[in-house]
Amino acid sequence: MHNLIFTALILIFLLAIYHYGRRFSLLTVNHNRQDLHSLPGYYGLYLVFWFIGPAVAALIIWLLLEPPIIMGLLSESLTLSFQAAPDDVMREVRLLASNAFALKSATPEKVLLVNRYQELQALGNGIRAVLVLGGGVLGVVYARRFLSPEMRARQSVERFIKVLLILCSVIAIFTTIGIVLSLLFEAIRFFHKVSPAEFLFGLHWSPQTALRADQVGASGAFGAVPVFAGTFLITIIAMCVSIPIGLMSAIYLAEYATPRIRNWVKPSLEILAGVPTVVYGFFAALTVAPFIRGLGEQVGIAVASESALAAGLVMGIMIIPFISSLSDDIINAVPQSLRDGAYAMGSTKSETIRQVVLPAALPGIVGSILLAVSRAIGETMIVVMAAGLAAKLTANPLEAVTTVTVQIVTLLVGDQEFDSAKTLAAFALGLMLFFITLALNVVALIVVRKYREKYD
Amino acid sequence: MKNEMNELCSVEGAEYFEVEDRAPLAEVKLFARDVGVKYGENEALKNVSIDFMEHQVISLIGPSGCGKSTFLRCLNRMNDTIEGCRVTGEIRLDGKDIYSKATDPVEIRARIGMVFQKPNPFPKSIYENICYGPRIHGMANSKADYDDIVEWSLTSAGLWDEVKDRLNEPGTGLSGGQQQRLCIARAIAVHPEVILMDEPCSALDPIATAKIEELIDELRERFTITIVTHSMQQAARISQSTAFFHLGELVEEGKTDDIFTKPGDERTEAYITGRIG
Repeated sequence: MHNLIFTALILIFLLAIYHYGRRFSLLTVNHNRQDLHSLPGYYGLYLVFWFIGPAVAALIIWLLLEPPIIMGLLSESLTLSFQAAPDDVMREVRLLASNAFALKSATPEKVLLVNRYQELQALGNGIRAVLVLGGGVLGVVYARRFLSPEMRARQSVERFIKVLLILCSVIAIFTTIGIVLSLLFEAIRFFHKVSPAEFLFGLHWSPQTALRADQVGASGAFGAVPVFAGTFLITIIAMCVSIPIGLMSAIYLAEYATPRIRNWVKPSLEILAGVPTVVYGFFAALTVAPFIRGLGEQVGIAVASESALAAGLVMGIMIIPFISSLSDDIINAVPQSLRDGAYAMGSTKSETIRQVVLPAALPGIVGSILLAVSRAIGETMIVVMAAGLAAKLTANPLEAVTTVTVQIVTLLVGDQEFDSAKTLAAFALGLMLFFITLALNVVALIVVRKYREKYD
Repeated sequence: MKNEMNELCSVEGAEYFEVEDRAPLAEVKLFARDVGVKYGENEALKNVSIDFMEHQVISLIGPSGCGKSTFLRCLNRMNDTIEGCRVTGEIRLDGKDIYSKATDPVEIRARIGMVFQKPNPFPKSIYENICYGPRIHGMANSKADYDDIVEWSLTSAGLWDEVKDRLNEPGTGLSGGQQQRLCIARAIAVHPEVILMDEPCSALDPIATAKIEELIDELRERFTITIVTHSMQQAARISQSTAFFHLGELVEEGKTDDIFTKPGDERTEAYITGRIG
């Protein structure tokens, strides 16, 4: 609550600064706006940015400094008995401070420490507020000296905004890098326990490791080949469904449909993309899979109740709108002049589409298909519900297979020890999955970029 | 400008701007009566009647938006592809009504080729660009036949010597003028009887324009040519007949010499002397 009020105060303060800058600039030219280099609002924004910059800098510096300072002050009041392991004590103190219930049963010595810690923290919060406000005000006071009618406030403000935009995009990039690095480090830990060769080429996947030495059938095997084979099998089934249907509906939408039908069909197709994958998941598990099994029984073929076929079919349906929507845009982007050229030589509509429009759109279509594939590979919810759990190396779509994403989910659901090979295997799987989808995306981007050069 | 062009062309050794008049002996190839076009409620063209003589070049001139391109696109039913476009009146190719229900527009377009304002080669190789038409019409049986067609078409379009060593390179890699001649070669590869050209030189420089004009004059021996142009000099240089359009109407049509020296209508005179349009 305290922080909320503080933030509100800062916002009001910023408004005041904005108005001050605006008024100040207008006063310097006796309200003759033409004499100002920039619009008055820019002078206000200029001061506002000069408040925000130093204030944020002060905040960051304090956040970095605060823990060591509190730690240092607190360790002075540590009694000898705690000197041995100050880090552990600190962790405990922090926990106790946030948990009033646990505090009741703590030793008086520790209660003393916690009280001291809370005092210091309250002090720290006060200092933080002062630093933030002080930094901002200092910045404004400093910047105010530059305010003059000739000052290029607009350029400065736009520079600030540019820096802001760069920061935002950098955040996304750094987050990605962070994710990759954390995957990488955990995967390396995994590869200390299991050799990469076994992981990459092993044909047996059974990640249950024994908790006790005398447990049955729990040696743990980490050959990822069957898991990836399952992923690819389901992906291939999904693409077999979605590529023809998606592509043909794209062709219909782009070339044959009248605007009225198109306005009706295209949004309906895109509704498919809006269905939560969880819904697809239980649709696959509860409707499609039993249906396929029943069908198989009638014909006399044994079908597993969690067949790859069911999961793949439903996943294919889910992906249709990705392919149809993207391909439709790409086919529409083929210049009308090419169609005119083909028609003018006496080709029929289907000849024009097959021999001129589709070849011209092909790179873009391939790009959209690759994007759809990488989505299918990473899809989780449908396969968790509708695909099996046991890894099996098979190409028969009627059997149950498992996928990479399913394995990651099962490895990490529930309580886990973070240094067992079983848990770490999830990171190795994730890393490989990441590289596969990354490679597909890169290929897709390259193909799409090449396509762009085609007509321009 | 005209003198410049004269010099330019005489360097090329052609005398094609001396207009010959073959009209009286020629037969009517295309015949248009009371042609009108409506885009929805908007009347783009009304009451146009022109006879197109065989082996003649006829120019359609007029200010932008006067309906000349619309009229050109009526002649091979290209307007069919435009939503909400309605064509009225009568157009006959060798006496056969091209808008009758019994007529297949695909067949009409094979007999009446078209070259567009902006060169639009297919994103395929030069060779495949030429072969496209013959292939869909099944005009050849063997690779050798196709080779012959490609060589003949490119030679006719005056492009053979420039591209014979790179037939497998993409057609889009050629220069603008070469691309336009490729499009002409592509059009004549299916042996049409009439070629419609919609401002074929408007995106080209004077030298490329001169080459295309020379080519048009040669092609007249074999085809009936209709060309929409914004350049009156071009109309004067290459056509035997000229039709002047204004505000969706055909103002007058006649021998090119007559139109440019003694126009019958004051709007024509105003346009060719540069007072309107």
